[in-house]
Amino acid sequence: MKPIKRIFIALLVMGMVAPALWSEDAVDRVAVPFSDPGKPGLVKAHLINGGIVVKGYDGKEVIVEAKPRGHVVGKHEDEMDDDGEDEKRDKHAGMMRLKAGGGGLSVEESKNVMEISVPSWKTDIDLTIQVPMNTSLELHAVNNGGIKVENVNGDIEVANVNGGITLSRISGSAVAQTVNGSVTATFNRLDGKKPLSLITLNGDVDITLPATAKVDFKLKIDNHGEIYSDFELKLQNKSEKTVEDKRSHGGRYRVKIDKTVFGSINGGGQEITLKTFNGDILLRKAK
Amino acid sequence: MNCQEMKKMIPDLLQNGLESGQDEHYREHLHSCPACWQEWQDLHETWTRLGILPEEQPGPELRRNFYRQLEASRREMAAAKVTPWRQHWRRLLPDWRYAFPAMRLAAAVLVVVVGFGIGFMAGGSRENGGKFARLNKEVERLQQQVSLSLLSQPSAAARLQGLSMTSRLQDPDPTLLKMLLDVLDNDPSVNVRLSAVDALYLFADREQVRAALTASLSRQASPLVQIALIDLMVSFKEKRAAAALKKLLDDKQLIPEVRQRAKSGISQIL
Repeated sequence: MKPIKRIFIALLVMGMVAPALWSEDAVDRVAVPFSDPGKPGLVKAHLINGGIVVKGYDGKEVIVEAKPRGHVVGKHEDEMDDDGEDEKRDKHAGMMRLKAGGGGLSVEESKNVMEISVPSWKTDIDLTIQVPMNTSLELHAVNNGGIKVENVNGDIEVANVNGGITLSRISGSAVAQTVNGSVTATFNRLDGKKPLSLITLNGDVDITLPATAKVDFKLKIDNHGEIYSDFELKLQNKSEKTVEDKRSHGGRYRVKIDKTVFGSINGGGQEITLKTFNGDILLRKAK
Repeated sequence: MNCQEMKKMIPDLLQNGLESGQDEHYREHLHSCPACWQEWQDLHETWTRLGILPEEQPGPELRRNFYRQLEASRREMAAAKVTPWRQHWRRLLPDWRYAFPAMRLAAAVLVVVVGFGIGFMAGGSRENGGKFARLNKEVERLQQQVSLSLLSQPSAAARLQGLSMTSRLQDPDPTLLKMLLDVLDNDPSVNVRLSAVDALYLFADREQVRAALTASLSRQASPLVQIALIDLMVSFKEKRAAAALKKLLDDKQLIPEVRQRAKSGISQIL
């Protein structure tokens, strides 16, 4: 109850102050603390149109900024295509558009879980979230923007549909998936335990790992894709019999599932699944 | 007064102090001869520093150790007095160290044979075989429980871990299979659902699993999962799978990649 009340007041105050401070580009900005700042929190963000950027920083609060892009979805395309409708454009020429209540940003915190959402789908909104570094994340977006995460040590779950995913300087587990866009991940280090999974339909999967990372890879490419690697990937024997043997010894999978490749680096260890339908897989060694 | 004499006097001076020295000419020499003065200075400094060091006191441990050692050696002496009868024994028995190589070989063979015999009797009994099987089963049951609890975690990474654990199971019980199918249909994360497809593939020799996988296709919204399921169903080569694929093609919103995959799948099955 209490944290929610506090946040409500924070939003209220921000609502009064924000227009005065950021009226020019109509940015909603809120700083919300976790109810137990001593423990790592979880931030969930949902967005339909727009991009999400999350950055880890050396602080305790979560700072959320929602910035509407300059155009209304759909209208922009009309204006670009229809040269004939000059009158329509003239109608509001030289006038300033007033934003009623920005994008309708909402932030709720309870028991160290913070939910950030922007219900409006008419405008593209870019969310910029600053979080304490060991925060875990759950980010969902659909259209018109990528998802970027930087400098976060917690566990990361990301789902996008039309847009790429870029994770840089992370060190927790990562589960990321998009349909149209590439997935790029750069790990400072691996925690060695939880499985990682990076998947896309149309785009490359590009992962950078520390040179000493011990990993069991499960790689799947499909149409015309290739696998490129800086690492010396030790491919597992694919013949039917040997793999059956391995299972009985508590080993791994049975056979390759069509184009799946099993391989390990530095003796194997943590499981990493990388899949793409139309694109390449790139395994890079951190320099 | 030369330097030679001076050096001999330095220890005395150190003990008595320069000022209290009875002889004026020592002091004079020191002040006039830089070499001696230097030496005096160095030694004097060392001397005063030694004075700063606290005097080493024997700790309480020292006394205890000493008496312990004393007691030990006394006991040893007492034991030595009893030994003669042991030496008698030793004289009676032949010394094996100097036995013939053949004798030594025989002894080694005997040890090996006895070892094998014991091993055979212990390992060969049926009861023990049963024990191992039971142990294996117990481990598997435990793994299933861990998988189940991981699969109901809120973190997607933990659920993936649960799925990857199931790949080690030989004989999953119905609860786990039901859970896997539930994950395939309802998990919020596409990555986890895809991983569930792979996990279930390993148990696709069961009719019930194949049927459930085929039925799940119509419930999937993610193109990635749709494609994975299509690939799996093509590998079954079942008529029922072809029917499910045809039904999928009726979906107007199907994205082109999936449509193409389903079409080529149907032609492969039929």
